[in-house]
Amino acid sequence: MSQIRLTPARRAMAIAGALLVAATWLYLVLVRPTDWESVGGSTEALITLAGYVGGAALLLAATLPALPARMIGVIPVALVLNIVVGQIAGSVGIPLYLDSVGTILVAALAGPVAGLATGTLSSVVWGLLNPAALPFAAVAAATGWLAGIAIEKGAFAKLWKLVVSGLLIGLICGALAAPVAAFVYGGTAGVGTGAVVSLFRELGNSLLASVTMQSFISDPLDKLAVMAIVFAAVKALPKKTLRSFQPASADEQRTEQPVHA
Amino acid sequence: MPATTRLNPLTALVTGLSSWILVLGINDWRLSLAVIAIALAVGTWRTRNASVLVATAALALPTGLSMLLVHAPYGTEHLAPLITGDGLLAAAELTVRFTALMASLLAAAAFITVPDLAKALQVSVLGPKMAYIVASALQLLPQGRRVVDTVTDAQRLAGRRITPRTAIPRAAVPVMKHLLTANVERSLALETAGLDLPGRRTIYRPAPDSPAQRAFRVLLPLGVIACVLI
Repeated sequence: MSQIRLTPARRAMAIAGALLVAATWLYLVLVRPTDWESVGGSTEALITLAGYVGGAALLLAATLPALPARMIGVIPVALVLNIVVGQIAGSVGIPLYLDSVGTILVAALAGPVAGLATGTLSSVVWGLLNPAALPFAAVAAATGWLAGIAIEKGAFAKLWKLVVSGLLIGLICGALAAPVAAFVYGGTAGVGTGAVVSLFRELGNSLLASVTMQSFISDPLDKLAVMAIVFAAVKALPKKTLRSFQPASADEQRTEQPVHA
Repeated sequence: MPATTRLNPLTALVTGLSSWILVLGINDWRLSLAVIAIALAVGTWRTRNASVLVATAALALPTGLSMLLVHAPYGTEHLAPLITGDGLLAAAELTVRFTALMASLLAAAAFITVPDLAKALQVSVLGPKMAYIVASALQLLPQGRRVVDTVTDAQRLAGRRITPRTAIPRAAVPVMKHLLTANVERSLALETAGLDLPGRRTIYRPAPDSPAQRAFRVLLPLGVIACVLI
């Protein structure tokens, strides 16, 4: 797996972005529990939007310049995979999103930084066609980064590690996504997920708690399935394709230097 | 969509995003309705068809139904079993707000062509890497959808049905393999073309822009934020 190193300044920017997202989540979920029902309020919506989109912008500004050209060439394919594999799942009635396959594939082959950038960019590009995806950019970034870390630590080495990693990534991303769904949109965008949220509300939970619990049902299964798909795809890919994710070797770089007269 | 426009793609995007701040900040259903009306009118005028309206409806309808399920039963003024007056009102207001958010960005997107967006991003602070990724992904999407059709057709012709159980091995994995191997050469080409090199790029026909639009892109978000805070 290739490793992309960030300069100290970019690392600081990435940490600031991650801290902004984390602080927003903590503020919304832990510090203001009495406002959990005030989903129609503008303050929570604007705080969520500013914290998550601002954090994602910082993360992208920190990581994108560090990506080598070889990686840049593959990211659009990963973004398209996120969209079309999600559509395959929807067309045959699989009750999962499967919209992070490209992000986790890049994370598996090029590491957590590339996964983070791919996830963020995926929401930005998809947001031009489906604006509802845009505020989830920080969640997509977390998906790519966490998957990259997990795979780096050996998530693909044993089946149980893959299962645990997929479930854990799903739980974290589900918890991160819940404030966006609850405060920016006031609920969920799908009828099926809406019915599940309604069921949890019927049991006496607040809206944010209900949206979070709904995410805890769907997201871990989704990320587990995506990790399994990416594992299968990596095994099926030709070596030449896998090499395109590696940074250029010193020899290659020497041969590509321009010839001076 | 008309081939040419004098509007810079970033101006359109900043306008769409500023309307998000306005809609969420003011948080009034009448403003949301006004934004929907303006966005749909401008988007329809721009595209000369109902695509913005259809896309907005496609996003808003399931959300509206979901809002009904999530909010309608949980108010205090009971009208019927599982339906409350204030719950219905909350669902309606949130659906209108969501629709305004979608309509404003979809209308903004109607003013964007992929080549102009790429050129505008390339000379912006976001740089050539961002320009390449956004433009390339948007152009690659139809190819991706064609690959899905080709793979599913091939499986059907071979007598292999694609069901929820077989969709991943018979459709998802072959599509991933095909798209990645077909586009891997681009990476080397980009490296050779010097995408990693620093510095500004020359664009022979830049995206339309003007000092007024540049000022508008700064002043509009600031004005909207001031409007929300006051």
